[in-house]
Amino acid sequence: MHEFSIATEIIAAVERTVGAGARVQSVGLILGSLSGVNADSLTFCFTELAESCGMGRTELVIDARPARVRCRECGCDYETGDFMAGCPGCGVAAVEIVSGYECDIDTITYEEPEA
Amino acid sequence: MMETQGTAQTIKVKSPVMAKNDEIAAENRARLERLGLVGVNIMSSPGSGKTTLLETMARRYGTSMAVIEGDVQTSRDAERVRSAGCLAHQIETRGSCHLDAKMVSDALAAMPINPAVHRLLIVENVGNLICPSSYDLGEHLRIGLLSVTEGDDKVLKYPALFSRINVLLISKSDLLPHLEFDTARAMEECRAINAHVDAFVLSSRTGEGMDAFYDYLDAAVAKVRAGRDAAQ
Ligand SMILES: Nc1nc2c(ncn2[C@@H]2O[C@H](COP(=O)(O)OP(=O)(O)OP(=O)(O)O)[C@@H](O)[C@H]2O)c(=O)[nH]1
Ligand SMILES: [Mg+2]
Ligand SMILES: [Zn+2]
Repeated sequence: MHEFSIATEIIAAVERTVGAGARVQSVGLILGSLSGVNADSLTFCFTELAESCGMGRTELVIDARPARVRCRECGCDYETGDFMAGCPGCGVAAVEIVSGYECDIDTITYEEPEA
Repeated sequence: MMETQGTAQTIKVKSPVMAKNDEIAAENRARLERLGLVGVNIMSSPGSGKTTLLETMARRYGTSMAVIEGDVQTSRDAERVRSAGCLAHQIETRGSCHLDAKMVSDALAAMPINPAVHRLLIVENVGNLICPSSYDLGEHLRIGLLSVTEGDDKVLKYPALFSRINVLLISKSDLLPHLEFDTARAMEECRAINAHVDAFVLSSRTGEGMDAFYDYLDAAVAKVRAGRDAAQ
């Protein structure tokens, strides 16, 4: 359960990018299935924290991505949630994980603080 | 990229949430390399035998091993390692389920590390198979410990961890005769998602399998030392 620290990191990064005091409408987050982060609890932590930090009612828009792997036997690329299921091309279960660990801030929608 | 809607604007940032952590981790790694130390991050579920392994390793490495202990609460593990003869620093995370690079950086700053004496900096992470795997601490080697009492099916339940370790240690092997733990299965599942993992089956209690693991660590130390000497 480290969603609270992830939410804190996201808010700090958003403040560094758009400046503290900006009203932030939404933050887009890319979240891989191997990120170790639970989307629901992250959303809960984030929404609470954003409001208490004065960003407003900020929506966290999560783009959930499955793991992408490359078969080490035949080289074909596929998405999977079951690493032992075997490659759709050759049936062998031996992969290199290409993506799925990501937890990246993708977009920030905000209003500049009033001068 | 920028688009406006009313007074609001959307900017594309594409920045990893861990960017700051990773930056500090890179500094930790560089610092260890300047000192000629190999950083090792040991991760496992609670009670898999991390501290017992360190106590056993202390008999081989003695004062050349420095240890950072991460626990949610208490300094018991640091005391155990200190009694075994090593420099040990306890981080109490006070609720946090993992260590991060900043905590390790602060610990390193507080530890009297002596490049003439120390060869290994071992970090015992908080017992947890999920959260620690997302945080680079600045280690050179990531070790995942899986004790035979946990069951041979655990690797694929925690792929984020086991796909990114350098070394799999199957621990408490002295208990194998009493259990149905298929070491080949655990190793095979780990290799299925991690092409380069090195695996060892060992017991801190009996010392079985420890020598092969020591050879591996010695080679890692020699490599970092050679890198430092070449840079000087
Ligand atoms: N039989 C046997 N028992 C072991 C071995 N290694 C550890 N144990 C036992 O396992 C229990 C937990 O060991 P620890 O070394 O404290 O485990 P840990 O991973 O450091 O635990 P946390 O720091 O709390 O996560 C203790 O009772 C140890 O005596 C081993 O090789 N064989
Ligand atoms: Mg311990
Ligand atoms: Zn294939």
